Amino acid sequence: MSLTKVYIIDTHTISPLGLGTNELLTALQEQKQAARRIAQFDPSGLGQQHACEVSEVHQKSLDQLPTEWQEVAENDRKFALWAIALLSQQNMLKEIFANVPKNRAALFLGLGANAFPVLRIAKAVDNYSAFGLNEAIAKLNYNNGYKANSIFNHADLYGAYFQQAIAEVAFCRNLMTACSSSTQAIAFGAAHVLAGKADLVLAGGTDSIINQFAYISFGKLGVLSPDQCRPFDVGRNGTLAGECAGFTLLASEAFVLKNNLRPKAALIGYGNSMDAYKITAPDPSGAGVERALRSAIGMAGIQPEQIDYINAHGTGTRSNDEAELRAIERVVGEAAPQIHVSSTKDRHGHAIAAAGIQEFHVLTTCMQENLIPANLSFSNPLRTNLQLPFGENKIQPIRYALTNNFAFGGVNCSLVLENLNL
Amino acid sequence: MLATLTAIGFWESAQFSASGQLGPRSTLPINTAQVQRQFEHLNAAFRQIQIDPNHPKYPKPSDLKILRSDTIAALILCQEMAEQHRWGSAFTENGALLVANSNFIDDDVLDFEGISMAIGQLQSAPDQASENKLFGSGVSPLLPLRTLTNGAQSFIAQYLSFFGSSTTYGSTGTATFQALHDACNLLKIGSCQKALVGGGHFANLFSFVNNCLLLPDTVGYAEASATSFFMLEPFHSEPKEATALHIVERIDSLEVLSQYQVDWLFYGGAFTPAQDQKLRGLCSRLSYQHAFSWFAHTGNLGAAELGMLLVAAANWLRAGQTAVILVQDAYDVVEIIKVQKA
Repeated sequence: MSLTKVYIIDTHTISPLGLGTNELLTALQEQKQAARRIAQFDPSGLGQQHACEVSEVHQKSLDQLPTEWQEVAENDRKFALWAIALLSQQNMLKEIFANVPKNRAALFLGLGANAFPVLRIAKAVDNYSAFGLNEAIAKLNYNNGYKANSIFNHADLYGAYFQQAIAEVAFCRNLMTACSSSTQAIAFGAAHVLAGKADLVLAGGTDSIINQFAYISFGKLGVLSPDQCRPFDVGRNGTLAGECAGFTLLASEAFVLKNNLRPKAALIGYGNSMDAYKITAPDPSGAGVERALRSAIGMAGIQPEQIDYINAHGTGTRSNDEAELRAIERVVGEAAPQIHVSSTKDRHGHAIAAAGIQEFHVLTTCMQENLIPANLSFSNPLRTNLQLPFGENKIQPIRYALTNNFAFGGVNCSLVLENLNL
Repeated sequence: MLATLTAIGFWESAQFSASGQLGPRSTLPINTAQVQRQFEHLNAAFRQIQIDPNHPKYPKPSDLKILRSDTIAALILCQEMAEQHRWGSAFTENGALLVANSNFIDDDVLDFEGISMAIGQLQSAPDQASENKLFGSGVSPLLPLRTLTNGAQSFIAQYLSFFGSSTTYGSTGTATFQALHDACNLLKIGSCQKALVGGGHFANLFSFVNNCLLLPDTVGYAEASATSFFMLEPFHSEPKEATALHIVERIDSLEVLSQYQVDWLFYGGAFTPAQDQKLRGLCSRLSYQHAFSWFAHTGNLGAAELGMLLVAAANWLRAGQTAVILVQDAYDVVEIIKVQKA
């Protein structure tokens, strides 16, 4: 085993494609596309009325939560999903974290915007009309500190709950870079292991923007499709919101050896870069994406042509997909015809801050099953030398794979994984 | 030794910005300025960074639609620091930019009157479709961008032509510690050559002087706006910078605090009287000669707290002297580091 690897012990998500690896695999094999008319609120009158929602909220799991956390879950879909993800694997998590001292364990989370508690503030605005601002704010003043702070500093809630439900950890990070948040959480979590600061890191995140406020505001930005997400299609017209919560367990070689684990995959490279272009749009040249890709592949110590599959960010927006394809083409050069590229957002939607952990789980699942997921929503694919599998999934060994996520503001993050079973 | 701090800049309240003096000072003045902002319909005010729109590093007019006040302050400060220190490609190409935020909302975003008007309209909507359309008419398409969690990070990268590794930390008062520790990781494993770390905090509508409307029992609590950034490099024993500090270690366990003897203690973070009591209890375990907290002078500085305490350490410690920096956040998370003047 190489000393530079960070081992992937297990990965778990709740998403529109199901709870856990088995449900996710079945959904991928059966080509499930989760897009449907929004059920969480009535979207009548909006230009965009579709999303990929988690259909089963596992209320029984949430009923197990202590009362104070139940209230948080009722007000915060992201927290509800996060709690389900942890509770459904609680025994496994407790068991594995029992094998590592607190000061060698860490939590790296990628989280969605906490500005959206504006929604909750809006709920108090009736009070504003009736009583004035002081009273309206006072009505948001809960006696419980967690809930009080959740209005602004909600990021700390998720780690606090983890430490109560699973295990205490010495390091807890909340990374908030929009659509690259949980991808970066995995990358920075890996750096933490490589720096010798921890033997076990739980990295992941949670997000959901399927609410009236977010749909209206993102709709106005012109990034949401009215019907279906069509990554890499000439006629693509926007992304579809998804939602997801989940985690991956990253471990040092020492932890793997000590606990006699047999990890099936390893994280062998990551790359982060900034576009430094515009906050409102990605660099159309894809130069920032290219830097992240080259950095990740360079760290992995492999050649671009060794990559079998790339799970692309592929949002289905006009600005992302062309730039991403061209950046990949430049990095892989003449090997392009051998490299498969697909975006699975046409199946599970765009989970924003949780897109990274959603697609990381898709990737680790596909690597174990030698499955290259097809793009499902083409009518007229963009011109490229890369392989864009369409319609049917391919069965083919994946030794090295790469996943991309990019964010508003020009934050780019790429991860390279190695299949240890091949 | 984890890393060496080679540059530091800060901006707190109108007193400093009006003086035009950013960055380390030979003698750090005690800030007693009564810089306050009044809300029209409230009997309340708080200290706030006053930004001169004629500042040579003021953002482009087209960006002002999106920039929050805290981000503007951070953006100007980082430009000043970059111009002064000329870090070159070791930073812009091979560096890291790690930004902490303790809140993401300013009072422009909290447009209560606008939201109220919209809600009032919603109540008269005959059906859901009409309500959604009315709601839509009251929501600015710029709102998701103004509240973008990584706004400061992205604007700083854009204005500094920074292409390296970067992320944003969202948390309460210990967010910048998270950034500092990750910067040390990246420096240690060679993922970057220099790491610019910092944060901004914007006192807002919910954080009036001597009270915090979000937390019960916050008598004596105050909050102020500030931004601070510092540059970390791999440890080198003899840095040439006058204010250089070594980041010696993270103290992981409260149990070992009594083993530490240092020259200075820099601390912050109490919100409620109970938390204040706990903080004082923690501090009493340490052995130190002098202690300082910004709280008595400015109030809570959120994600800017660590940088502001490092400013004090960089200016007040003599060569070889050591200090502990201890911050307890709103969630009672305690972060502690030991530093030493180079």
